[in-house]
Amino acid sequence: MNPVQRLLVEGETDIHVVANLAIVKGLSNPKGYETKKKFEQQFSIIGDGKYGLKERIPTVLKTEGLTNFGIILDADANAQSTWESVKNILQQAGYNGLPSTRPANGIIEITGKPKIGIWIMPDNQNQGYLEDFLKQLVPIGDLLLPKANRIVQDLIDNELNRFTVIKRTKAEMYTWLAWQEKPELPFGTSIATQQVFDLNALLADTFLTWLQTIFEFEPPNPVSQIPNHA
Amino acid sequence: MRLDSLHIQNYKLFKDLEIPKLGQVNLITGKNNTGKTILLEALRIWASEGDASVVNNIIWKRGDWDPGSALRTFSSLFSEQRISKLNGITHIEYQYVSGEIFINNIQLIVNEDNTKKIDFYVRTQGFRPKDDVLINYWGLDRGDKEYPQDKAIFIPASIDFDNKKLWSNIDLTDKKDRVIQILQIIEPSIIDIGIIDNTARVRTKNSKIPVSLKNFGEGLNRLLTIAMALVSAKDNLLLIDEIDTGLHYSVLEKLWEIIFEFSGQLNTQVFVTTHSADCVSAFSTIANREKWHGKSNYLRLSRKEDNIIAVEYDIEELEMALESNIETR
Repeated sequence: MNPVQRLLVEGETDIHVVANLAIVKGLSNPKGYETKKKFEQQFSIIGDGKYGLKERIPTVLKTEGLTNFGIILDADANAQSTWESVKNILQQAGYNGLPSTRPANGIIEITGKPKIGIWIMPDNQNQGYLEDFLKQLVPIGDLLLPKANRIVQDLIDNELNRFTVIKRTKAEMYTWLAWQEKPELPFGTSIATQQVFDLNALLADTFLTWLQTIFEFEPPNPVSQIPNHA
Repeated sequence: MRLDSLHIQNYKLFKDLEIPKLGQVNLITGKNNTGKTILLEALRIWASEGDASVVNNIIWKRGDWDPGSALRTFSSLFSEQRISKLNGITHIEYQYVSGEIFINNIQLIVNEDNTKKIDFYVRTQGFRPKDDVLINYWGLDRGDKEYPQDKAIFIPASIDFDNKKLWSNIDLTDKKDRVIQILQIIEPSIIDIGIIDNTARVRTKNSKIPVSLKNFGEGLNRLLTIAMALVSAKDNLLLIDEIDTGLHYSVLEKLWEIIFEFSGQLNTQVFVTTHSADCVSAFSTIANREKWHGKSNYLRLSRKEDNIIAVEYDIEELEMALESNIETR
């Protein structure tokens, strides 16, 4: 029988990034969701921000026959307190005896309950967002990133920033993205083109390992698999 | 007759099913063979206080009647058959407990012999207590001929419901006007209805002579059944199995609106089952309206190991789940 798998994320951007990264890196599609459309529309649930995501956890857990449940959320100001808040929600849903810090592989397994995987953006330790994760995937020696960084810093120094300072990486990364060969492309598509990000970056690998630990994937299709331009 | 909660033990698939909260309008989903129809059966039995004709009808309709053995026939009612021989009489017992208070304890004690004569012993306690009733059964083969003496109104999933049963209490009353109103959801041109020679006929704005309702498709026939049940269920339980059978999704929202409206006016408690996502979604839209707040309940019956459990959703949660593509069925 196919596993019943669900991935809960904060927003559309997260899911495009995850789906494209998984497919480009040859993970194929999650079992039971054989197309990219199913990956993005049936397998994935958009949480409407961090608050909305947390609100949806108990409801997703009630899904008939759920076996594998991945949750990706932003650390924002603090990865540890993000873990604690998720832990509290899971405890109320009957996941007892959870550790005080996120388990090293991010996986929670309790007999008779769906397996849960938690990834806290960017890297399960530091504060930040999806964009801080993507920043780690910018090729080493990239010349535009320092420039984007300086411009954003300049805005802050001159108090021209309309964003709060904690979101500066978001500003930096969207600025940087707009300077690529195709300025109009969003993050997900930019990953799919394989020309903007370094998809062999360590953090990308760590993330993909987590993804493979929490979910079952279809066997890769040798015909459609995209060659790796390492 | 009103249930605030439900606890069923040892009835068919339900070893021990607890539903802590019920509303005026209750929608029940669940995969095949999780006991949606069985839940409605249990409510029928409860409402009729274990009336033999109802139990008989349930056994018959399920095809569980075994002409060779009354014991096997009645065993079909229980999840764990507690069968014992006492003084040479075979006893099968099942318990049916409902609500916070101990409402009902029905014992079916079956005395089986080989001449097809069965003493069917029904004992009820607690709710509307009455003396033990001893019913002589002259074989279950009456089951298809006799109308079950249901107290609750039960609409089965099949579309060929015998409409004339309810009609006699509707014709020539203001209930008929309400039935016409409901039929107009699908066919606004209908202005009158009658059941003549077992056939429902309607008159429309454009026609001088009545025409058979069958000309309007199966959906309208189904809607007629539901409409008649709704207007007849004052202070009663209304049980509708697979409500969406034969109905296009576009009418479901309007139908729910009418169910909420009538159940409120007539003090009817409604239990509905469905498989349809459209039906759940339409239910959620109406149930989340401010004026119906706190009136309804949504749950899924789900297998857990070899038990059936109720997975409950509050109405706001259901709305959120539907909006964000979280499956609740």
